[in-house]
Amino acid sequence: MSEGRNTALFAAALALTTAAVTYDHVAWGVPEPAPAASSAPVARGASPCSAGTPVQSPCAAGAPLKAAPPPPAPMPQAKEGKLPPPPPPAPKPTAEAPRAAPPPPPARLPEGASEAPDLVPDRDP
Amino acid sequence: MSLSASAPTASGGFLPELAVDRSPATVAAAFLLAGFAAIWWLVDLRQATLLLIGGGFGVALYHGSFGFTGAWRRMVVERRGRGMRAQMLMVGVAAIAMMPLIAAGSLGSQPLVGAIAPVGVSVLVGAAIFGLGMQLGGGCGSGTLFTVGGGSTRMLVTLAFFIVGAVIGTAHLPWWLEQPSLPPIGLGTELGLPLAIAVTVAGLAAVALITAVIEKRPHGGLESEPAPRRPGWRWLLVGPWPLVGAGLALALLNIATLLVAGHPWSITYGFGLWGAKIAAAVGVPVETWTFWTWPAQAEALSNSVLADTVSVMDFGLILGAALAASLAGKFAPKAALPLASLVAAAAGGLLMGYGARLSFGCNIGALFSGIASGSLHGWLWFASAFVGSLVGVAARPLFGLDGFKRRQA
Repeated sequence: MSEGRNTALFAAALALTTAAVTYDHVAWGVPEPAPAASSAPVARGASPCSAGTPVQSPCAAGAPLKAAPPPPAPMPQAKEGKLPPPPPPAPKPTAEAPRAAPPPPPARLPEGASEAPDLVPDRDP
Repeated sequence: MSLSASAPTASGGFLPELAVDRSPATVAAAFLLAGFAAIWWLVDLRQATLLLIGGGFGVALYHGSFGFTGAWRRMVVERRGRGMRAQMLMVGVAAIAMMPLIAAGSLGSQPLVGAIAPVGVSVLVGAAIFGLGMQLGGGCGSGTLFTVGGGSTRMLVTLAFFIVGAVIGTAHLPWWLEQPSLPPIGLGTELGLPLAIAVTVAGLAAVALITAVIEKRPHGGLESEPAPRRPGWRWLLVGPWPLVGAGLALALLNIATLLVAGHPWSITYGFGLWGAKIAAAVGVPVETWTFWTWPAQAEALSNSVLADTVSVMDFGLILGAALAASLAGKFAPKAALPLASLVAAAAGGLLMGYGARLSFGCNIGALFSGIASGSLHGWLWFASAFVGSLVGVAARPLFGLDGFKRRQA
């Protein structure tokens, strides 16, 4: 290292900053990561213009986020009498369709075999 | 350790032999690597990657001596525009890549948003205040950080007051936002992507052309980019880098920031956050201030600073600049610090912090990232800050600093 340098001053500044960052991290911690499928606007590591903020919002650092867009206007009500008629109800069957034959009873397991828990039939009625 | 330079060439010669500042270089490199591992472990890989990208910014800024303050002053005092033309190239390259990405809205599962902000009185006034402050402080947002990383004692003072100014700015920003303003205007949305890119590049080219015309009048020609001044490729490691090369590296790193962080490069938001956290720690109820009740700001205030993308990149930038300065053998040189100069540093830092908060960023967050995102507020910021910078150059002699040259009688 060359002579005539302020190295000690910057070493002290580095040590102080490291201590402050460590204290801050211990005091506050990091946010829980958002679920992958979630559309939550603020995820881990989020900053004013970071992940999840709506694209159309002002995103320069510190800029206030634009208010959420208003909900879509309700569909205009069609005038009475102009609605298409509802479909007619399905006609009732005049005769019962022949029922399918009941499935055969499950084959008996060989002696000593075990069944998956979900497939064990309840013993109680 | 010393890196020897070979014999001078006919093209003007190499810089003299240099001695690497080994201890600071080792510490800076160790902190970058340990910081990467720790942040990966404590937060996630994305934040750790952003620390390294910030380190890249620091190296490029330091080795290129890529600053806005000196380049703007050189333009108006010496009529030399090489620095400003490199800045325009940098913004243009970034804009061509970033505007389509921002228009797409996402890349894979990563949402991408631009630095797009309202165009109003707060930007107009804030940028002018910032421009004045950066000439007194001796560096803009990026300039302050990379010179602090390089070991400038004076810029430590500027940074400290920058942080104070940014916190005061967060207290006043809601009032400023009530003043007349247009909504955020994104050129990509208003004009369509192809025309928006064309208009942006044309605007940047026009600025570069104006600087060339102004430079040619007194000098008869344009200042050329000097050849590498170290043998072989050693200049990549120890610098100095050509301005154009540094500008292109910064453009690529800003694109990388957008892809990894989901938003473009920003610096000064971190200063306000650090200041607010310090203020809160000593009992100032900043969490009740309107600014810090906004969702993103409240979230940042109540989380670890390591979870804030801007802060982590700022830390990386300082460490990267420290590494670059040490490799160049220039870390933390002792320099005389007259009181008037320190007063100017403090005043400049305060003005920059306050102005940056009002105008949604500094030369990086508002000018570079704003224009590259296609935001109209970036252009307003540029014009207003340049006017403020002119006032700042005129005011520098009040603090014993160089300003406009006096005309010979």
